[in-house]
Amino acid sequence: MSATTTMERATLRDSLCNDSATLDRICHELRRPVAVISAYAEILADELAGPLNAEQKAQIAIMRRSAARLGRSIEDLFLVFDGAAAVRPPKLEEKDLEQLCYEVATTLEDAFVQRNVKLTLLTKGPLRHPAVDVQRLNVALVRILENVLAFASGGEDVVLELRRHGERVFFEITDPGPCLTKEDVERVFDFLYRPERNRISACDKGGADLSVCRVLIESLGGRVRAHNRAGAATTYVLELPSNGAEKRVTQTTGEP
Amino acid sequence: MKPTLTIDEPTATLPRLDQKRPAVRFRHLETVLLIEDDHELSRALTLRLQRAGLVVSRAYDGPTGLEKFRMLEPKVIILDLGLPRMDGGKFLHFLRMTPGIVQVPIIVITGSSNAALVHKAENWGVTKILRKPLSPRALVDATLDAIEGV
Repeated sequence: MSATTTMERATLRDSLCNDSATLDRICHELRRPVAVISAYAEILADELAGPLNAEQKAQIAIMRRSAARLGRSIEDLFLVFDGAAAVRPPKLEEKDLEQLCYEVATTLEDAFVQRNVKLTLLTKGPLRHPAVDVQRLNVALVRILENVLAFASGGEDVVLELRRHGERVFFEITDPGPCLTKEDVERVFDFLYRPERNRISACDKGGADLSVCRVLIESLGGRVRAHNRAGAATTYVLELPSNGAEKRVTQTTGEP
Repeated sequence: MKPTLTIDEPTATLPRLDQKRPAVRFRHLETVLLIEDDHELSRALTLRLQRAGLVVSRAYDGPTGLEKFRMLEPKVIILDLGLPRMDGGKFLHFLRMTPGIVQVPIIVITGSSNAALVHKAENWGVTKILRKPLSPRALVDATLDAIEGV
């Protein structure tokens, strides 16, 4: 290998690791054709270019799903590399974590209703966190809940529990879908790892999936893990430093 | 089982965030200016906007966009941030800082993940930011919302 090529590769590697603008440009270039494919596929699917027969509709649906999958992969690559390289510092702000859970649940409400799956929030009231990156935490929670929902068959209960224990805040999400194997549980947050159930299912949406959660949560000083007992539901745990998070004391007008 | 979303505690003190969109809209023919340098995407978006009853004028770079803006006085501008000759940020700056220019709603469409750039666009008072790949249908909804001042 020539010295020039080696130098170019080193420069590219440094750019990718240290310069989010390079990563942004790459993702931007990848998004352009996906945007065009998605736009025309939507126009065809909506029959703006003429009526379609059933077979044509099915084929366009496949195109749209594939374009969405590619788009998701691009977003995930950006999130994973950007987060892993720690180029962009977290945007920390005060947030009531119960409110955040509610916002996440509301985002996914229609999807849960469509799949006939019940989502329950279990909290002990408002929990004010003084410094959290709302967007990153939101993406991590949505990603796990979407993943859980994808493998639900309907009629199950999914619980999102928020609690504080000592100096840590925990988000726990139960997954009543097909049980993960022991290896899956250990590796489900690894980069591009596909649990067995993803590989044998049509529910797999592609992308980097749960590894995005790991990168985002670790960038906030937290950690992620999954656990289950044989044959039992899997639980995903997102853990953050509480940084003095506290229950908000609300004034009441009741008797003292 | 009936699907439900339940909150154990506290009870219904938190607002619902989603709002249902009206099924029918009444409007006059309005002109929108679409400034997007990708010709193929521009064509797809134009097709969709026209089907929604809008008159679409297209530009593929910033200076042409400004020229058409002055000529046509569109009701809404749909602006890509990554434009040749004058990028979307400069376009916004010019539009917002030049005295005497009528302020119109601007919908930004961008394939960039550059948070600083998007934040800058927000500071220039854009009506909505849609990220690529975007649904042409979502763009139509955002455009009609902007025209109606929703």
